[in-house]
Amino acid sequence: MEQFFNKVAELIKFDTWGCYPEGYDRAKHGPYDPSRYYGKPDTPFSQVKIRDLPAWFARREKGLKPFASLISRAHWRWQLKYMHPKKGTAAPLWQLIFAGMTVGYVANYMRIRGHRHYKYH
Amino acid sequence: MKLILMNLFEMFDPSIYFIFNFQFNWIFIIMSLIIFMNNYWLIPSRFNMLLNKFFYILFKEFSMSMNKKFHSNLFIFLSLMFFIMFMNFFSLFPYIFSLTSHLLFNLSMSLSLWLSFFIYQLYNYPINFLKHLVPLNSPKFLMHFMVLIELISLFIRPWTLSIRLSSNLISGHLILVLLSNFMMNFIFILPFSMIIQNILLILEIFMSMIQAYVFSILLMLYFNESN
Repeated sequence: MEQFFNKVAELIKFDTWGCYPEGYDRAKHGPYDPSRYYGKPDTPFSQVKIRDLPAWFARREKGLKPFASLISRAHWRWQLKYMHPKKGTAAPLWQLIFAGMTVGYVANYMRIRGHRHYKYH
Repeated sequence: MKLILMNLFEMFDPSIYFIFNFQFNWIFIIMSLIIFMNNYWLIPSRFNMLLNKFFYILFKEFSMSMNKKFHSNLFIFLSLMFFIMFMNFFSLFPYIFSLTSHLLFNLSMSLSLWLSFFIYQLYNYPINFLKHLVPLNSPKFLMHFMVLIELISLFIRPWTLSIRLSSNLISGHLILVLLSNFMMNFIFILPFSMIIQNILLILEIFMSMIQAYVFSILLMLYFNESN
């Protein structure tokens, strides 16, 4: 049992949870910014040419921890942009609601599309 | 005249019929996790300030009916209220699944918390628990019966909590849908029915807050009784 838990902890890299990311150096980067990627800089996804895309994907880190930190960085970027400014607006609420509505419509489309045929019952 | 009436309870269906009965709609739980505030700057933002005020008022409200020894335990009830309130509020928008209208969701909150309080009381204050089964000054011939009644009233507590929340939500959504069907069918009184629909929607928004408040304050009272 203990071995199994050790394996799981190794898989999810439990010992690195809550620590700063690997590439972060306080002397070089200054105060820690949770929305920034501290690894080796690469071409941004929006500027990758289509023929370089497979190579670009091959260079990316894969696994549970990199994916979780990707989501975390994106969430922090969104929060710092919309919710943390001193004079923010209600925009993040509406963004969340409209995103939820879109997800709900797309996910439930197979059910909703029958509605136009409903008549007299 | 064409009469369109949809299946009213269809919007409470968690499965999406895309791949068999895959219940994808439970994913809306993460919506309140996304809106969850992290503290970052020293000077709080408007959102932070709003939440601080909100929690401050509610803390004062909740702490009146709680022993001072357990004030640090209030945060779980406050966060529970915040969570349920946002789930209720989001579900008023079209195509967003209403999670809190399901017993599966409500019972997982009420039953787990209530059961933990109950077990805590049984383990730490068993005499206190037993003597509450017979109310003060109950006649002797009624005592056996009273124990039964008190036990039943004790055990239906988590059920009443969750059923209260879900029935309120279901009834609110049903009224909104029925009125919208009415609006579609009788288009010549549209301005009048729009006013009614708006009033109902405001009522539903307030109900989404009030029901969350009721849920958490009743759980807090049960916690209070258990010690």
